Amino acid sequence: MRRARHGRRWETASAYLDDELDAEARGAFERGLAEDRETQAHLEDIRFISESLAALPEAEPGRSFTLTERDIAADRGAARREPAPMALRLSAIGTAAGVAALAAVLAYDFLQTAEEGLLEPQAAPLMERAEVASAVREEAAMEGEETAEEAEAASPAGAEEDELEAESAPAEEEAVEESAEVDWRSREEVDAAEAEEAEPAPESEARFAAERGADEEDSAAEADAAASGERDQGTLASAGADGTEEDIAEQPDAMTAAGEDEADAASELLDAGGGGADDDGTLLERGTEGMLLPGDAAESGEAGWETPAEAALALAAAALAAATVLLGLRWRRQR
Amino acid sequence: MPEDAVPRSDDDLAAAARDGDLDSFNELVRRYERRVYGLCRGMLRSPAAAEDAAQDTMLSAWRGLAGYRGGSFGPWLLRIAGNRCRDELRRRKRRPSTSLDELVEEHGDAFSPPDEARTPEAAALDSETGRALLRALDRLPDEQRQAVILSDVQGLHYEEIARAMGTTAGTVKSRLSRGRARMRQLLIDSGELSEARRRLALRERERAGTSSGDSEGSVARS
Repeated sequence: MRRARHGRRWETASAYLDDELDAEARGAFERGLAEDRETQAHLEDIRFISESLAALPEAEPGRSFTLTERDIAADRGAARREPAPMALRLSAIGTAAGVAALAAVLAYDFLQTAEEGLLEPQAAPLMERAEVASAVREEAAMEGEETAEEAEAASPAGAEEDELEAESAPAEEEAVEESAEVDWRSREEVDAAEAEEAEPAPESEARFAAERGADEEDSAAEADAAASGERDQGTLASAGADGTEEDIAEQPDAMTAAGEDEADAASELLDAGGGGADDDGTLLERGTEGMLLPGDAAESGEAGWETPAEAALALAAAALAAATVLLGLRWRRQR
Repeated sequence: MPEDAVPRSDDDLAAAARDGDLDSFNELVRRYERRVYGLCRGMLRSPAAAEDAAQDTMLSAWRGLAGYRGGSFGPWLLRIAGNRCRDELRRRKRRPSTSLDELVEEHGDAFSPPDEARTPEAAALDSETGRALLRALDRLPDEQRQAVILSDVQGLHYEEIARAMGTTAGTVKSRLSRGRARMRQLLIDSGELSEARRRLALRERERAGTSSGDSEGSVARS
C-alpha cells in the first residue's frame, strides 16, 4: 500500500521533473510537496541522477555508419544466408509435424480399407454373378413374405408415423423409385402373396406415395398401386428404425458374405432389413446393375479413398509436407 | 552547397532514399548516428558491440525504408536501434559468453577521453560519478534502461520516447519513474549517492572558489 502510494507520487515527481505535467497537476503536486519531506528527498535525488546522466560526455563512435554500395550488397548476401528466425523455424517444424501426422492418418485409413477390400473374395465372373443375383432375388422373394409380416408386427403402423418415417428416410425413397426401373416380377409375386393377407393400405400411404412420386413419370401408377394395396412403399415407410439408412449401409457387407453362402446371406440381408419391402427395394436397387457382389467392394472404390475429397486432401497434405521439407533443406543448405 | 540552401527535411531525404538515393540516406545517417550509437552504447556497454548494433541499425533502416510512414525519422531509427539492442541482450542472456576482453572493455573507462580543458580533478570526479551512475543504470531492466537513456542522456520528450519504444507516453512515464527510483535506491544502498553528492558539492565549491578567484583577479587587474 505504502509502496503503491509511493509509486503514484514518485511517478508524478518524475513527470514533474521532466515538465510533463499539465498546469493543474503541477500545481497540486507543488502544494503537496511543501509538506512531504519524503517526496522532496526523492525528487532531489532523481534530479541529481538525471542531471548527472545528462552531464555525461556523449559517447563518440569510433567510425561513421554511413553505408556504401558494398555494405548494401554484403548485407543482401548475408540476409540470404541468415538462418530463419526461431519462430519461423518452429512454425515450419510444427507444420511439417502436423502434415506428417495427417498424412499418416490418411495413409493408415487407406491401407486399412484396402486391406479389407483385399480380404473379400475376388470378383465372380459375369455369368456367375448374374446367377448369384438371380438366386438372391428368388430367395429374397420367398423370404420377403415372412419378413414383411415380421416387420409389420414389429414396427409401428400408424399412418402419421409412416409419413414421418418416409420423410426422414430419403434413401429408402430413392431405393423404391429406382426399383421401378428393374424387374418387378419377383416383387409382384411377393406383393400378390402379401395382398391376400394384408389389410388395405392406409390412405396416408397412398398420399405419401402420390406425393413422393409426383415428379416421376410413373407417379400416377405408383399412387394407384399404393392405394390398391401394394405395400412395398408403405412397408418401407413403416419399417421403423431397423429399416433405415443404416440397413442399407450394412447390406453391402451382408451381400458380400453371400459369396460364401448365398442363401445365408440372403437370409441375413432380409433379417437385417427388418422389412421385406425395404429389402426388396435395396435388392432391386443393387440388382441388375448396382448389386453388390463378392469382390465388388474393391471395384466400387470402398477399398481405397472413400471420396474424391479425401484423396485430394491426402494429396494436398503430401504436397505440403514435401514443400515444408524442401524449405527446411534449403535453409539448411544456406546456413 | 549554396549558403542560402535550406537543409532538406528528414522526410524529403527519406523519400529520396526510398527511391534508391544512397546519398540522401547517408545524410540521415550523419544526422542521427551519434544518437543511435549513444543508445546502443548505453544499452550494450561494449563499444564494439555498440558499433555493430549501430551499423546493423542503419542497414535495417535502409532495408525497411518502405515501412517508414514519415513524421519522425529520429524516433523511428532509435526504435530500430532499441530493438536491435534488446535482441542482442536476449542473445547474450541465452548464451552468456563474456570474454575477459569484453569485461575490461565494458567496465573500464566508460566514457570518452576527458575533455583536456577540464582539470584532472574535475575529470576524476566526473569519472567516479559517471561510473557509479552507469553501474546503477546497467542493473535496470532493459526497457527501463532504454527509457532513462532516451530521456536523461538524449533529452527526448515522452512522446518521442514513446515512438522510439513503440509504446504510449503513459508507459514511458511509468518506466522512467520506476527506472529512476530503482537507480536511486541502488545508489543509496551502495553509499554512492551520498558520495556522489559529496563530490558534486566539492566540485561546486571548487567552481565557486575558482570563479571568485577569477573575479578577484579581474578586480585586481582592473
